[in-house]
Amino acid sequence: MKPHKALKFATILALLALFMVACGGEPESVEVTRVVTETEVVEVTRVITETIEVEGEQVEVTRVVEVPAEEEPQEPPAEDEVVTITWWGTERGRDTATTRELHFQLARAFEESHPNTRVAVSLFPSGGFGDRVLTAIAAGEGPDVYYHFWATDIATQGFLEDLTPYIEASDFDPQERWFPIGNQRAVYEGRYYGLPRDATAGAIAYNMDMFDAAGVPYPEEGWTIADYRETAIALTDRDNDQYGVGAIVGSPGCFQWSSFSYNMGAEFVSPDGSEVAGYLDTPEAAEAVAFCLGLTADDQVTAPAGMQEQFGELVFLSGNVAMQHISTWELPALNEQAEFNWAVVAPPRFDENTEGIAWTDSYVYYMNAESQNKVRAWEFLEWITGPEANQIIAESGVWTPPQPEIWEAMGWSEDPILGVFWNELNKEARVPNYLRSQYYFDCVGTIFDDVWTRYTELGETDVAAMLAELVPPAQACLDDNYASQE
Amino acid sequence: MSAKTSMAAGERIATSGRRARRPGFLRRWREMGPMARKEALSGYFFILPWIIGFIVFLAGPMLASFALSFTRWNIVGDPRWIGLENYRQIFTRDPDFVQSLEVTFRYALVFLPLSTVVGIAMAVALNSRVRGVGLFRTLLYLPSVVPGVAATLVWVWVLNGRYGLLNTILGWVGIEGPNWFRDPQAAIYGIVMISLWGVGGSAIIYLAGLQNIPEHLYEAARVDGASGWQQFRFVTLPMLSPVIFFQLVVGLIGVFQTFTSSFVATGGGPLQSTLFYMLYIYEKAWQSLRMGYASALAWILALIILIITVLVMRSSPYWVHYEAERK
Amino acid sequence: MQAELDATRENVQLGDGRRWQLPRILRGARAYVVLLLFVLVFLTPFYWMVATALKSEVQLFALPPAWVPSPPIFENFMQVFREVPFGRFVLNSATLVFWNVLGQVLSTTLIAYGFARLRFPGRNVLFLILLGTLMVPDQVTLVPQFILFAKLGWVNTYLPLILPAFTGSPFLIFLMRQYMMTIPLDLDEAATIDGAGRLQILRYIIVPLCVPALVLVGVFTFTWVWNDFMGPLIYLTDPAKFTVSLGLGFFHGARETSWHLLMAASLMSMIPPVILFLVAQRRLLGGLAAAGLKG
Repeated sequence: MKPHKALKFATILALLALFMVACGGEPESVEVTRVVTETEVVEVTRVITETIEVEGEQVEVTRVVEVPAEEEPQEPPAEDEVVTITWWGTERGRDTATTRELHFQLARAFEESHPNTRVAVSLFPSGGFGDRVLTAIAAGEGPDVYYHFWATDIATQGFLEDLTPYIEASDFDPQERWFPIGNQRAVYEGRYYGLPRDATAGAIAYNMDMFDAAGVPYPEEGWTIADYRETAIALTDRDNDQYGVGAIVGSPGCFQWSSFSYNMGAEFVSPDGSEVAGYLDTPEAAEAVAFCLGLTADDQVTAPAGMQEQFGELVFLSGNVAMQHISTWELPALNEQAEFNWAVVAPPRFDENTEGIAWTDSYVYYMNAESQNKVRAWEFLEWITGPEANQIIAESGVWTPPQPEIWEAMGWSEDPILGVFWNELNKEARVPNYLRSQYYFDCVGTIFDDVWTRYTELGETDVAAMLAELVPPAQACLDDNYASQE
Repeated sequence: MSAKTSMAAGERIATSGRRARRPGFLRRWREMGPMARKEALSGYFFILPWIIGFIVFLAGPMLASFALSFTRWNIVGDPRWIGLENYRQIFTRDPDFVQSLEVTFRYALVFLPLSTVVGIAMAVALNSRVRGVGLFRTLLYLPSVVPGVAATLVWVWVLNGRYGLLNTILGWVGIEGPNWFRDPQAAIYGIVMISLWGVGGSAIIYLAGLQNIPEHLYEAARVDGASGWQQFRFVTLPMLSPVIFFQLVVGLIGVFQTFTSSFVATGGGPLQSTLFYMLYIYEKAWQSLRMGYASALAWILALIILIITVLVMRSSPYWVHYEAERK
Repeated sequence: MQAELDATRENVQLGDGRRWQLPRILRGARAYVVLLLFVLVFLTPFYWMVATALKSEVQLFALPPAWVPSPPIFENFMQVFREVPFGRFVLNSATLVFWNVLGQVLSTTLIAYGFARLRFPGRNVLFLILLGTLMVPDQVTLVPQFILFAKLGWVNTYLPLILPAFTGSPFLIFLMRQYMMTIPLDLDEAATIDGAGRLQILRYIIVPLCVPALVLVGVFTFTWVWNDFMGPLIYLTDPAKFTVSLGLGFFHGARETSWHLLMAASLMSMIPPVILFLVAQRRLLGGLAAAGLKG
């Protein structure tokens, strides 16, 4: 073989090999833990300095990421030009007419103070609303403003308007205006992609009559998780269909829609949503999950499975459930319907030496990044999350506004029931696990369902082992989903 | 008339040597007699509405979704071409794809035969010539009119492990029913029951078929001494075969697209035992915003259904009896 | 098989002696028992719907569940009208249903006739494509289709929910085709010899014989359009255009559901399709059998 031919041959081989590497198998997996230490925005590029731990060694890496070119701010419409903006929301399943009325009332009130903007309200059923919004946006028919409960990192998908510049140009301080959770839910990587619609917190409602009948003292703020469990056992009488604990805490929701896991020192997902390994496979997580499972399968103090999913928190209304984890969402129903004496207490903390951690949540208003009326849409957003609108909302009783000022003005902070939620809302806030990653329900949520089934139906009891088995595939699922965005 | 003309043409082609393969479109068109050509033209005329609808409303979106299956697309942004990557991932490292396919096939194998038998049985009962049978028809059709979400929610209740209707009734006869939607073995049968509840819809299709069987065939069979079963076997079934064929094909397409009941009742659990293929597509498309991936999944499903359907259609000459069939 | 049938046909013409059979009354009793059994099995879950619709909100959550609502709250049905503009929704749905039934009946008749009784090159392939359109899940064609209708400027109108009906549903075309294929060909041929055109054959011979299939087309279209949730949800924006199915969705929230109102509204929404069916089911009697043409 002549040399240049050999060279050619080798080149072809090398190209082929390259091609196969490029198209072929996975790159070797390397343990990479990544901690973002600082981000800095420099003109159109963002310099991200991060420390990467590669097989034990710390390496500092600086990435330069192109920030999408700042769009020219939209030309504001002439002051006297009448513009119609669209505002979409959802019905909540209860108090339908009142909810609709509130939306119209808000729209009219805004139009009164902003005579050149019309607000066209559309309320949809909550089932399929997310699909509705996305489909419309895909076709350029999306609403200017809407509210939903996207996970915070949905911002990476690029269809939410970054509201930070608008806030900076305004004269209010978001930290001051809204509860901590309201700010957290709306922010992703330091930037506002939404504004809070409401603010809710978790607390334990208890049936005073059942406590009296059983001669058990009422729970008091500062009680512990151990107290909670003891009380539940004392108040359960399955033969007479009486249960210590109702829905959510007696179902897979216990892990997710309550403060129990936080109080037991567990986080299931990293704050940025990308990691479940190192969070859900820790001893704390296993303990929290085992606590929930124990209530149902071992102590048998929870209302039967199925009832809970169907009736949610309102199973408390049966009068046969002694303690029920509720949020402010359930208050209208309880106020209207409960035929027994009840009260509310803060959720139990871990033990005497720890502070209680709150479970809080909120819906978020978003502005469509494709909106043609951004200036007016922002005026509306600022108004609808501000004092005037929140006052109307508070008076309607449809949801609890995100503005502490209004709570105080309404006297709620002193109220024996709402005051409990007030305290919770003023504690340190965490974005709920399920709202940290847009892929939570695809990758992580099923873990709880699986563990639940294996523990309660199949009799497997080693929670830590189950989590150790289920977390790696969940992490792979997250990695795969995030990689698909690149 | 025209039938003869074209048959002659057909014979000529068949005997003209080479392979006895169906000739191409143009060839056949050229060899047609004027009558056959006229018949063909009116054929196209009659199906024109569908052709227009297909081209205007369907072809575009279908082609788009096919093209999108080679892209990454988050619905709201711009799709990005990634070639066969979605397909590669589905076939090489997607356990949920395998699981959802398995669930769907298992469901199909239980539900299809069951719905055929129950559907025909119900139709035969509804075909009785008794007073008030119209009321019974309406009552049995009723469940298939119940709006989907409400229907599923009713069944979640009926199948509640401790307080549900079914387990209460089973308790009366000393059977301890499973915790239906919580039990990975039982959950899929819960879904089967929900679907079977709506069998009235297919029963009335069978009923229309039964009603179309002339009474004299039964009379003749009775004269020949045929028992009730023999009448059913040799008169009812063959005469009903076009309807059964229809139900089978439509049922096949339907079972592979089962969605609402698992979406509302189980969300795919427990232990993914009700992760139907459509549910999986939905999750990928709308929860994870991976519409490209979901499109690839959807086209794989379409191909699977297509293959099975073609097999069923190929089998039809052996068991489907048509009064009006010309080859 | 055909030979067997022909043989029996022969016998009928000669037929005289009937065999002994169960007396009519007893045969009727047996039929009633079977029918009642079916009704019992299929309507028991339905009872739960009715009971739920009549419960007070507190009774909904009783543990153990209350089998009989006491007292029954008929007020729930009125409450539905106070919570949502149900009457408006019914009218909107009725409009959609009217055009859809009309469109489907017209188009499926024409299209199915073409596929069932006329020969043309490419017929089988086209039919397979027709079925093929059922096989690609809506989930993935939904967005492209929405974009298409948006480009046409039809979003927030009824057009995307009506016009496709005039091009025939593959399911119904297939149903109709199967039915038409059970009608003997000699009928068309006889008419052709009499000089009738194909539209006339369709109008005067095939359609009268296909009444049961047309009834099915009407009933199914009615039920689907009436209960269709995704279509109206995606294409309608203006609440004044919303349909019954969307109205029902209002009672089923992300966290809370008004069970009693959802069931009451669902029950009321079932009345029109059920009445339609009660009336229409009489016409399910076979066209051929009725016309005595097959004898």
